[in-house]
Amino acid sequence: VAMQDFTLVIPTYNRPKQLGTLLAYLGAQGCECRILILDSSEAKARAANRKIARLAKLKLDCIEFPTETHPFNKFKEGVEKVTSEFCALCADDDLAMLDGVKQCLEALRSNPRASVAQGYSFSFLCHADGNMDLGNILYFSSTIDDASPLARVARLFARYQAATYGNYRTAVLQRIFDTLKPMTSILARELLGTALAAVEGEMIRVPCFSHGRSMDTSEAYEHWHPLEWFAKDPQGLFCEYRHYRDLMTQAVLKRPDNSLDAPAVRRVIDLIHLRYLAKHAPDGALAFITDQKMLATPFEQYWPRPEIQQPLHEAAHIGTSACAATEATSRKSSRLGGRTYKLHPNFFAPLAVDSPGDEAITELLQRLDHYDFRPPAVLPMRSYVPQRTSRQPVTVSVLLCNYNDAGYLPDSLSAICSQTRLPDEVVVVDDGSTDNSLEIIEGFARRYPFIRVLKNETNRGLLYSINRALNEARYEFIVWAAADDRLMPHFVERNAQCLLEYPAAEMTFSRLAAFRDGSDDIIPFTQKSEGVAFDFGPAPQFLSPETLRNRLQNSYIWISANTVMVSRRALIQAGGFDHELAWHADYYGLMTVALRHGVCCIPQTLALMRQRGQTYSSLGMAKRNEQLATLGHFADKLTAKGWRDIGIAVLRCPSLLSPFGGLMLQALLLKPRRWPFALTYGPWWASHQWGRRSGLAARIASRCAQISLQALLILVRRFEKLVYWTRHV
Amino acid sequence: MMHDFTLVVETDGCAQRLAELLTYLEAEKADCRVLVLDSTRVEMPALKRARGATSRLDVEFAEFSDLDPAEKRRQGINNVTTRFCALCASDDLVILEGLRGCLDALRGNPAASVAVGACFTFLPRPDGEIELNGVQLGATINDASPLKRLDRLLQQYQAPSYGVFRFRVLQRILDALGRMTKPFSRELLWSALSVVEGQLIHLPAFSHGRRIGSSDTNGDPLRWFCEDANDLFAEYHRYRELLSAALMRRPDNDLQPQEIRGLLDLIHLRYLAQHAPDRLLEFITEQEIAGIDFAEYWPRREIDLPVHDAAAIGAPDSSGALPPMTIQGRERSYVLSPNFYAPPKVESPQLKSVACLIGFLDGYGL
Repeated sequence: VAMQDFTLVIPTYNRPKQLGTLLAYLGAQGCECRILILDSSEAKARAANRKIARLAKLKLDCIEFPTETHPFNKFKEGVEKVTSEFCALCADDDLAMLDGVKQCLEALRSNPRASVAQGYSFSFLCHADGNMDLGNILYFSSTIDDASPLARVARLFARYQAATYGNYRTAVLQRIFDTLKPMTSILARELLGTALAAVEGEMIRVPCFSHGRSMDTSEAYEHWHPLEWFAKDPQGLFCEYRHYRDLMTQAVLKRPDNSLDAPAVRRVIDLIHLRYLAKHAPDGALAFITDQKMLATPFEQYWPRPEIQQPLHEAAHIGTSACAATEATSRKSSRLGGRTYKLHPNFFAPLAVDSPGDEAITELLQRLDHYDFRPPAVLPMRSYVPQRTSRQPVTVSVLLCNYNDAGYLPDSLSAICSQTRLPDEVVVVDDGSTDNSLEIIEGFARRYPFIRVLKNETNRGLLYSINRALNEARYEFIVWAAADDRLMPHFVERNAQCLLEYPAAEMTFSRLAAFRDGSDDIIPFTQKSEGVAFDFGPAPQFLSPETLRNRLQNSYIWISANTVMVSRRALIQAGGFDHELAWHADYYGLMTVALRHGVCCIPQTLALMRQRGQTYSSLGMAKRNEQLATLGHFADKLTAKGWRDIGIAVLRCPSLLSPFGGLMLQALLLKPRRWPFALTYGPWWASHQWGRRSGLAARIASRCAQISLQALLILVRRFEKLVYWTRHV
Repeated sequence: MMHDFTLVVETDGCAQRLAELLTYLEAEKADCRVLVLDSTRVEMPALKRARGATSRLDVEFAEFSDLDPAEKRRQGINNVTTRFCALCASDDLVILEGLRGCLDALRGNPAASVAVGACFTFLPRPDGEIELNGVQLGATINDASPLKRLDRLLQQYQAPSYGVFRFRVLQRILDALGRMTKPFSRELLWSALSVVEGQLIHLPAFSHGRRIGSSDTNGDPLRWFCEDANDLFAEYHRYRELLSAALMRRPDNDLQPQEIRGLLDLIHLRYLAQHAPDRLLEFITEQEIAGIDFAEYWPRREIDLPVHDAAAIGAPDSSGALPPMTIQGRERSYVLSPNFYAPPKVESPQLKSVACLIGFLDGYGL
């Protein structure tokens, strides 16, 4: 049967190689359907995609979007452009199994009551040597064909499986995307999208492979699992749920096959979701999370532990019916230079579905022989924080932590409260001060209702306090104002204005300047006085992640935390302020946001830093052994799971380590897994050290270091993956 | 032995039962103080008779007219002058030997706030026999952290309301209950505050008997969720604030309010999930989708079984699996239901304790 009435929608972002491989695979399968590419890549990748699209012998259209377009908006606008009766989404690194898709379409054509049809979905992982792993069969529930919309939703959530990559009636999918607009979280969008498919009609399950999900995506989404969200922010979860329930109620009430009134519909939705939440919050996992929270273990440390993940996998029915001793099997292909497929027990003997059978597996592998993707050395950075549009106002929380700084508080709080554009709130955390700080803070709070005062009963430390303030903040952007520093009157106004002008930006910073304790004289830090790191250009500009990396390859750019306004959500996704990194926690967090999302640079002095003898940072850095250990943690974090993109950026841009000087080099040399960073940072540091000296020998040494750095960077680019993963060898 | 203890008896308007209880206490030579809280003026003559019949007991009658039971209890407790006290409804039973054991345990452990013996439910039959039905035999909760104690309490929830309390602890608890609007949330907060205040000691000896059909029966979180989820969450919000405040006052707490609230949410999600078994939710959802009224579908076997199972109290009619057992006492026969001699999820009461209990019950003039 032809696929003239079907469109495969492929969203892509900076992955021309994956896109090219997918299109080649579809071409080899004799794909007859229309393909619609939704491209929001940066310039270089976009040009490559255009070339790929030109060369592909497929019925192909491409819609280009601005780079900062949020994936959801891209999907929504793309699906609105589909004109065929049926359509499906397929990520650029996923696989559409056309035989399976055809069977799904036949099922949809013959059943007008159905809204979506899905085959089985499996997970796969491509290796650089061309071999492929087949992991789990992901989606396997049976057809949901109950007569009433709520009965269908109840069955869906009794054993929930997403229908994101199902084959839809286009009109249904368009309505779904339209309804999803007000939802902001990944979880609510996915759940509501799938629930609406059940509300709209029957959900057909066809027993054949129709979709493959790449396991190589490693984005750290926040709020993707109900229990994860509940553990972090139960209030936020219930707020989102209320909104979600209203949208679903409206959709159900519109259905002619619904017979319940609004309160009854809401009651049923509550029951369905209580059941869903209880299933996804197994007792063992809840017990473990409770214990960990009582021990004040950070979420990032306890969440990946098997004590949680194992029950969650069981709750999601991911596992194998084969005995525990069963090992993965291998199949060798005659094509592609003898590719080896590694079949995991979860794939050939899945837990909650009949085994696909040898014949189906053989057929699947024959199809997969046409998919020849080898992962690139480096995964591109992806933007996953929802982007603002220029029409959205910027809202700001100023965070201020105080410990016995009563002498400076009137100064710093007055500066905040006399901004030309007032912040939407000021969160002041008093960290158990023993002086009269609290009296001063509460005096300000009485006069300025936008000040919220939080008290630590005992002195818990700066990082505890700032993380507390970060979690308590209610607005989109935050400013970390130190109790002894001072904001200039236009700080909030100018930064907010810049964020409005550059909606893609998640962070702004301005020029560092200081003033001496007891004096009002401003000491500016300029390019002339301090060097190229303070070259901020003549006018405000947005440095995209790519531009920023290019700049950092040549020279450091000084981003001082006291000048920054940053998206709260982006900073939380970047791990907030990591306790292990002590006085360098702000640097790491802000560096991560800048590298992942880009940053706006304002060449103006908008904040002042007080130069005083004893500060948290200066005291910490002065203790050599502690500083060395902290730099070690910093380097280790660059090699840790979830920070691969930042580690690679630092390899490419060793200037990012330059604020730490020679001690960082020493820390890097202490452990073999840090050596890749020492390889690039060493020559960078040496060239700058020797470059400052006037002697001939020093200049020659500096030049040699520069040349070796250039050579190393070329090597890094070519063998990034090899260098980065040296620690695994 | 019990001079530092007051038994606070709450009357339900039936002077006859109060007289039975006081007579029994006198027969058992109760050497504690007895404080009777009453709000029914019409029963005064009967109360006086009861008082006359128990001249050897140290009894005080406190009258509270036009007050609801919770407020009567809160005000009445202020008349206690001893270090320890326990509550008892006038139609309940107390086993003095069990109470003495609880008192000893409390005196010997300053970190404990309440000590509870085994609790049973009973039903006097018209033919003179007594049916012994359910039994509560909890485990001691002696963790150092108040939140950990709360977590453990809610994992295998049993209300310690009829345990022996330190008077000041019970006074603080009853003061805090005023903002709760439902008996269920009052009971839950009472239990939660008991473990926040200190350790909860469970002893295997019987100390308290509850008459089946007593007025303040337990509620169920799922029932409330089905009837009015918004109301449940509004009440939970108030409940959580009171509990957080109590935890913040503890000298052994080093968590911030936000952290405490997050932990309370986790602990109570676990509690709710345990009381909302999957098959029960499935059944209720089906009934609601079919448009059946709550009042029609709730009191059904499909619901009672999982609810009782989740609460570890056994099904009301589980006699199908095990037969009831009859024991002949001095005065009358006792019919022991399977839920009493083989309760689900907890150990059976020891035979010695049961024999001892029957010995005491023989002295009770029901």
